[in-house]
Amino acid sequence: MNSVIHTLTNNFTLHFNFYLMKLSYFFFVVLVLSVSSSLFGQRMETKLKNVSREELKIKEYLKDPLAEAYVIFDTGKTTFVMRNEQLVIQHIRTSKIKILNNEGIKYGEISVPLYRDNNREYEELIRVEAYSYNLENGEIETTTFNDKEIFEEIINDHWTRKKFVIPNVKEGSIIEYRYVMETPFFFNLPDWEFQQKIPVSYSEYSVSVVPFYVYQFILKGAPDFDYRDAKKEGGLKRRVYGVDFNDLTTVVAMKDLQAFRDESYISSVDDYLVSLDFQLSRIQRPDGSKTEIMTNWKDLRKDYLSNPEFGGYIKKSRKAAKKILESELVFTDEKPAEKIQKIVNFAKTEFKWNEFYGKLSTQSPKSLLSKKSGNVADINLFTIALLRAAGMDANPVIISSRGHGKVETSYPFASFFNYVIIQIKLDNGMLLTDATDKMIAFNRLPPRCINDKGLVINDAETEEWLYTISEVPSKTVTIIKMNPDPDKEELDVQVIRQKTEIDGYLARQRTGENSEALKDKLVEEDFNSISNIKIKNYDNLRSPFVVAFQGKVDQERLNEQLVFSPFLNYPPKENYFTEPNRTYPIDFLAPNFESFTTEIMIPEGYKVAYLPEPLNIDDKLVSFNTDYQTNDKVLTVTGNMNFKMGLYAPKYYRLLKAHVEEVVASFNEKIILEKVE
Amino acid sequence: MKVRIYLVITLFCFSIGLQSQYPAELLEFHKEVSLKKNKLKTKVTKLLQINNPDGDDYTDTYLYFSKGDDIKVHTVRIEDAQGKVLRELKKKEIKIQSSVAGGALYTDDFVKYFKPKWHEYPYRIYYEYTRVVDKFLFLSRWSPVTRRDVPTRSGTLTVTLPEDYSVNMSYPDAIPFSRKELDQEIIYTWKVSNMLPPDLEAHGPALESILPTVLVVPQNFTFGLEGSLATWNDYGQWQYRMNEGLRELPDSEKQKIDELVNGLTDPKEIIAILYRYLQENHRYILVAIDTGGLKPYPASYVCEKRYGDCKALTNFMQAMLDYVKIPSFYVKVYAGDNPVPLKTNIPGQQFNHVILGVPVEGDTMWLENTSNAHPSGYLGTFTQNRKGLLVDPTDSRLIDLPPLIAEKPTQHSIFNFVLDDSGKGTLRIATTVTNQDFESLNYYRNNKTVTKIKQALTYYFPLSNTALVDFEFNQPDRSRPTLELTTNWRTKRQFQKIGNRKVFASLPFSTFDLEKPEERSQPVVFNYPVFESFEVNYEIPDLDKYKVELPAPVLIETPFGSLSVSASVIDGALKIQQERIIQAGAFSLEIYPELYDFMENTEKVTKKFLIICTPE
Repeated sequence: MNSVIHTLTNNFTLHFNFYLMKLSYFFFVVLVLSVSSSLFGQRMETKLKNVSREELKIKEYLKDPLAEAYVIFDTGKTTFVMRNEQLVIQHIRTSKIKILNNEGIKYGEISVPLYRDNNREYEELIRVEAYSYNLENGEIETTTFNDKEIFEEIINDHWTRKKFVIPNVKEGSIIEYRYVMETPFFFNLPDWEFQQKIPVSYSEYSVSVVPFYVYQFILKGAPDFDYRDAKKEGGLKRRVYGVDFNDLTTVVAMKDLQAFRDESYISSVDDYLVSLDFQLSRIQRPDGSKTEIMTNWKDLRKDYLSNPEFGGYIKKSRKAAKKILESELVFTDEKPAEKIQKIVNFAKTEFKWNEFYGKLSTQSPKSLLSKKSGNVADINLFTIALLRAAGMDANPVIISSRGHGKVETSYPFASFFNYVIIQIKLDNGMLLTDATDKMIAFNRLPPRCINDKGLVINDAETEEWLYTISEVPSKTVTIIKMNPDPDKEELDVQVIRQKTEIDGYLARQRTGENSEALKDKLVEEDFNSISNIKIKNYDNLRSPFVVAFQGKVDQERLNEQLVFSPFLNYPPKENYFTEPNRTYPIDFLAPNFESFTTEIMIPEGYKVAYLPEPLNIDDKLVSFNTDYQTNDKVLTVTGNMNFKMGLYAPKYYRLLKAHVEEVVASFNEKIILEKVE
Repeated sequence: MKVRIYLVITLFCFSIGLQSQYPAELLEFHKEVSLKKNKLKTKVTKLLQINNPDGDDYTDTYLYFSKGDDIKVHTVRIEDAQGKVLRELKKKEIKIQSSVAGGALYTDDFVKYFKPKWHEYPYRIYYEYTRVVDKFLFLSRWSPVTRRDVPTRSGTLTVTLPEDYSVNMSYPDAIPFSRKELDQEIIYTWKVSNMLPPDLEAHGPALESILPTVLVVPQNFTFGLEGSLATWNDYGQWQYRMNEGLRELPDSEKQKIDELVNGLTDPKEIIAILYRYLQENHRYILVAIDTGGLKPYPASYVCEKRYGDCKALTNFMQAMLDYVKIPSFYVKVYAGDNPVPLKTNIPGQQFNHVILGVPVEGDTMWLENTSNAHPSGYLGTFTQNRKGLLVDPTDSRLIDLPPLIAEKPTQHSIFNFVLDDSGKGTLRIATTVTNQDFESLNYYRNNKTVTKIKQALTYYFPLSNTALVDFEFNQPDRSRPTLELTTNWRTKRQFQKIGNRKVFASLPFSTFDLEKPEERSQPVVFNYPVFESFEVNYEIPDLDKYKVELPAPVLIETPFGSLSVSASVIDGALKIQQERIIQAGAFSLEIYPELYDFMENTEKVTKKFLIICTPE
């Protein structure tokens, strides 16, 4: 990911000269990552109601003929304004879009999400104007949106959505809209997405800051802007809260952004979309006092430790934790590892995860104990209290869950994180755990936590980063026995499949413990009938998850010969890497080993007529092989399919794709038995 | 060792024990409906038991309501299996949000919801709520079973009405009914015990028609306007009055219509031109406010916005036809792929959609006004073969909407494979589709991006180891539901290599995934015919150097449909001709085994229909 982090400030120093307040400005752009020299282009004119016949006649976006619509321009302007003697942030968005076909008509439906907090502060949609333009008999027909038709949809306690539809939008239309939104939440300076699902010809964001708030911003998905300018606004100074100043405006722009179409096999769209995210870093009051919101990881950690919904919550849980250790979970002379296991498993069964992520608790420890249910932070922070009460060195680790985006360690943005897990230090190392998931062993993390790195929240001098990626390989072992009877139409097979680690976790979730349901599924998919089906170790997480059964499949034949697919339908039938190339990593969660062993009992009077060539690929990345051994009675076929890494860099994509191609061919090759003449 | 065996056995028995249990059971479900001073009050109490974690989701409770309805949740509590209260939910744990259905832009509907959970099983959720409404077309629509997988152990519906209040009602034999007269009021009671949920089976009747349901409707009602549900004619007339005065077109629109139909005299042509104008310039967006569920937005609104829901667009189309003096009818219908039979004995709002019927030359043209792609007069899978209510000022009545028939294949495809010695090569498919296949492909063609169309086509053709290179659609005649499609593919492994032989198979037809006869409990309904016809040509190098073994042709004919497959060598290429027809119809459980056999045979025959080429 390319990202650039900047500080945006309209800074001032206050000289307490009784009558004079002198302000001086510094605007500085700190490029934390190296930036190549940027191409400074021109700003584009972005006026509304400036539509030409030529634009309306356009049938296709030449730079992307697949596009259903494209953005001609999209501009955002954020300023601080006074409302009822209070400073608020005003955000004006102006957009002009060309609709190319029916699929693009939906871009005429606009939706603006608005937030409200628990203290009756809320964001407001102040004004909307919108137009559509069509060519009717060679004349431009303008239709104006009537702003009475704005609908409000309640999403939940905190979010609503205002929606409107631009009238008279069809193939070929140009639409324009501008809305004004105001927010009292200085913590959330509106972010900006340059890139969209359709191509964007020009996107511009302008932010005018006042001396009271300093923001950091991070540009994601691109190395730099195409245009960038910062200047002090001229004219009369503004006086706010007794301070005189001129706004300092920064304008950034980008052009010709490609459509962001859905890509498969990526962890999150947010990681790759070209966008600008803001975080408040400092509040500077007219009286000269300052509050640092966060300037470095150390402060951020400190902030979490003192936060009543984080560090404070762990402290508050101490008493209740101690009580549990005196009554429900009494230890005598258990070793640390046993204690940890018992405590984590206690938390897993005692508290039901309500399926909400979160790094901050949402209820008091008392409420958690009464409801027996909570979000990730409620449960894991309380578990830390339990572990600490038992004398363990346990600390919270904040992470970004899978799908939530990557963490950029170069700059302390709290918004990177959305989840908290537990680190426990032991004499011989440490372990990471998450007490919200019953279906994974106490010393493992569920896949949703496997994404990137996490930050340990403690008061140590230097920060400690941890990787959540698993290095323990997942193994799938399949043992098949085939008992052909030349006189029968069906082939008897016995199958035992064992899965460990993440594969075991996923299989437990997919399969469940209901063997009847599994039987139905197997019959539906691959087998004519199933008997003696058993599921083992569903709850015994320390052992492999096992499925064993006997089944019947059609005996394949060619004339008098018997034909076998030695690994049944288990190997991939098609290459799952289908794109020509990849720019994103290939993420398997963990190294992945799969092995097959098949014994085919050779019927009386039959012999092997055809065996395929064995496969043998072995390098640093993978090892794939098949082998065939035979005597008079038994033919043994083995196959191994090992991805040695959990995460492969994009440059390996083509190689992996080529290897998998060979696997598909080799693992599905058939064997022939024929009558001894 | 012994111990271990014992453990395995207990584990196994335990899991069987679990299987016999439903994940959740509705122990008590009581609904009390009463009417006072034109306010309809409904009180519902439920006691739900959750037996295992699979049942947890069933505690998520959503209570839907419209703006103006008065809905109050009185109690929600969690109990253990003995009824001991573990916890009572606080007010703030009952949330509220908008309930805008998929596809709608806005409706003034909301939902109150709560999700109580406990960590030990079994546990119970008890809740109680009341709802008071003053606008209604139903006094009650009650089905004791509310969810798949959840049986109802005890359920009652009581409807208490003033003695002079007339109602119509309908209920199945499975729900016993009693009636009690008190001073000035009558109490109707329905009671069930141990009612099991219906199985969800492939191609079964619509769920709405299997669930035992009690319907109680008022004979007279006020919903915007006063109306009666005594007969279908009464209800249709009420709808007619609701629509009155909404078809006025602005002058500019009249002028536009004049231009469009200028010089035309053939009514069919005029209808087609206006329908196309509707399709190309208007789109479907649902906005429902207040009586919006039943009253269309006026034609002038559609003229201004160029969008509307089914009612608004239909009313607008009708307005245009009025203007050119072609009479038409607003027809209410319950739309959906799987038709739900109307309860014809109980007139009322059993519909969710409207279309337009236009009588032309002794026939009727049907217009689906929400589609931007249908040919004029094409009644698709969404509304075909069911009853609708024709709305007329004096003679509203139920009518039969015609079924889809397949005189020609719903899909006819010619597959031309040109392969090298490894099975790699190219494939060109020339396809012609009609009816349901026309609908789905034409929808994609008109509404989706190239990427999504490619995904859909990859799914549409039953091929593996192929990659779609390009495609081209052609609709030779916009007034016919027929579409031509050419696709080009890159292919790999298009024959099996078994030893030194090459084996070519026929292609699979679409599958129906029917249950085995011993597991089936419902009749089968095929709503429209499926007629697939494939011609598959394989060209490989040096075919003359192989000994070619052709399978014998197969022909199966049954009342449910037919199958024919044959193979030949023509002009140095292998050719397989295959055709399968599945007839539309409802097939009873008695003949289900034969139907199942036919389906299984079809699959087996196509799978085993192999051409074997052995090098000589």
